[in-house]
Amino acid sequence: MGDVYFNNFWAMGTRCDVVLPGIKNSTADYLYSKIYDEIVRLENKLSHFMPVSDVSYINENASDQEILIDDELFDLIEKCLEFSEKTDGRFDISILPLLELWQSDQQNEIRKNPEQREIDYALEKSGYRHILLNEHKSSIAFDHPGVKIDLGGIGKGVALEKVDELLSQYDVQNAFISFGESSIMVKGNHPCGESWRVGIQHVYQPGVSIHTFELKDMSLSTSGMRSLQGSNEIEQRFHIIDPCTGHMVRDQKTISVTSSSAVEAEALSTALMTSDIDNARRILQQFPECHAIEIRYGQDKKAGISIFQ
Amino acid sequence: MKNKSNITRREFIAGFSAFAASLPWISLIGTGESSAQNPSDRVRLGIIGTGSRGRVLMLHLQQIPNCEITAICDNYPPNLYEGKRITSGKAWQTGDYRRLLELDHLDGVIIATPLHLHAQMTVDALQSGKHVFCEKSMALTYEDCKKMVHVHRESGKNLQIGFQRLFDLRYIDAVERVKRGDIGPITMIRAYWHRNNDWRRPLPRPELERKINWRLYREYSGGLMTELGAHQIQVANWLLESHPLTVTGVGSINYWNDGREVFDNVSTIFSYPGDVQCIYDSVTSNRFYGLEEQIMGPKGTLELEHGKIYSENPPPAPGILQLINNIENSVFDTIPIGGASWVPETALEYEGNYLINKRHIPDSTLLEMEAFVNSIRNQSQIEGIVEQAYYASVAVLVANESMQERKIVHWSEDLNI
Repeated sequence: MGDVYFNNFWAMGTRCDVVLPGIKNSTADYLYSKIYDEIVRLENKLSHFMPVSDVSYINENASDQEILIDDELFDLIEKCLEFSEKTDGRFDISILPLLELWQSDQQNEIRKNPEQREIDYALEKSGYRHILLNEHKSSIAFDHPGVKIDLGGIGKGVALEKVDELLSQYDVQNAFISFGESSIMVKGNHPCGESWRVGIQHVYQPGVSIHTFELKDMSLSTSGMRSLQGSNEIEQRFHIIDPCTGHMVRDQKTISVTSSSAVEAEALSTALMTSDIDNARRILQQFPECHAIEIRYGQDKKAGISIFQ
Repeated sequence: MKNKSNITRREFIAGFSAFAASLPWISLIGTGESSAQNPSDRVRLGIIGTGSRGRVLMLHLQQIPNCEITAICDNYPPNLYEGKRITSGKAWQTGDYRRLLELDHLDGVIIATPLHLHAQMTVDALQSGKHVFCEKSMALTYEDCKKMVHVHRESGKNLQIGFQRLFDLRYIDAVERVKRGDIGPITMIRAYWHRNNDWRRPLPRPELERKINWRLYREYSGGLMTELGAHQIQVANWLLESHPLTVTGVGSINYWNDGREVFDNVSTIFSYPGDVQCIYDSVTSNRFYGLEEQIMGPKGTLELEHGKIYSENPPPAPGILQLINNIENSVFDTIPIGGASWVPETALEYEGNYLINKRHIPDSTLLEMEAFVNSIRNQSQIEGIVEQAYYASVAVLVANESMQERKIVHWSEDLNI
């Protein structure tokens, strides 16, 4: 019997599962509490859902004035803008006005038909080029009223990288950390293998893996159609917006990306949702270490896989 | 009617844990079946008080095999008429409970009258050799509560008070989970009962005000604490295995200022051993939050009226569970993720789990009636049940004292039985 520590908690709108094999329970409990504290700290800072977060403060004020921010947040937003450049704007933290248009306030249900003029209006307030960073002052400002940022597309990646650092500080060799199974970071390997084997499950066939990733010191991010907990029906919640058109991505597909950087994996899996295969390959050329696959479901619920890189 | 009871019994046993069976009042459920056919085991009951609650109890009693309502009493003719209808006119009737107590053939009585009458009626019934089921709360004063227990013990006759949550499978399951440590030690209880109505009954004639709306006058009623709070404080006592050590509260009339004497809103803190507080409030001018007992510990939360448990740590996703099992069993294999139980990235509301996942939980009022009838057949008092009732009934009187005197009231040793 292999010893394994497991614990989990709710954070960042999903559950965070922490699996630490081969570590004494008391030590693992301590590590778990460190991980918990760090993720809660990040959520309180980065979530636009939290009324007192740094991001909420920015969203309320950065259209009127420059807001001084700390290095951690500055570096993160700077990195997000780099990803926007590298993905032709397909990854964009400024699409919150669009997202809010498409999602009703209370239930996260998709509004049936936002009118094109509403989309156009929201598009004016969206676009990473509205975000102005001043490295000298370490400040952020928006050049248009109503601009808002949302780090939700990358927050779990940030959290996973912090957890990675934390575990390294404590010399933890092997670990498996998962946010809702869509954002995963592994350290080292499974106690009985050379890696961690993670399969992307067929959305309509529970237990069937369509593609297996062999992960070692690696992150895996999956974007796309989701199914809901406790529901036998595949009940989809679309939550990805094409930043260029302002429309919701309704493709029956998922994108999975591996990278040694969890933030990179998150940004790319989001960006590739709105890319065709040629665009995807062109974007991925800038990230030669990453692997990316697309799984597309037909009307017959059959899955087809494309390996982008 | 008999079949209905049998179905209940079967269903009940199906959801019955060893812990539930260990509760003396639960172990009695269903034991009457073997003797149900035997005429010598017939239990004959009189009902004192055939108002709305009394009639509910009568309907339940009529589902219990070999149990007969042979006499009814109410000094308000419309109630007596309704009671008679339920027995198809068969029950002997009177407006004076003392005459009912003179009936030698009665094994026991059910008392469902206004609170201020409970003690005298119970004492008289026990002293006339009848077993007594009396509705909650016990009585309007400490002395009366104590006297009921004293006379019960002296008479050797059974006494049971209508705290039906003791018979509710969800509550029993919750007590078991707490004892097992599922939510860790209880660190806080929050309970409330909120309604939005004036608590009045329609009056056929104005002079009947105090008789019909007895709940609103201190001469007859302890108000929200005795009529509603007692149920929930009984649950707090049960879970914390103690009576409160102090109670502090504030009550007022801030909305239904219609001549009533009892508070229309109460806010109280019951302090238990181990510095654990139960915060209790009840209002009659807002029903949004309804009714609940929230039991909190470092590992989880129970919501008893909804019958739910919420873990501070959610269950692992199926893929993660498989991974853990694999590691424990030294298996290196692909774990499929993102299937039909995938939690979405969008904010998820964690809805907890049901304590007892049964479509039909037997009615706790029916079970408490059955236990009473069977305790009469056994001729033995149900262990611990009067004590549960007494400490809950007295605790709410302590709360009333605190609110009326506007001070912290300490539990006096004299109150122990």
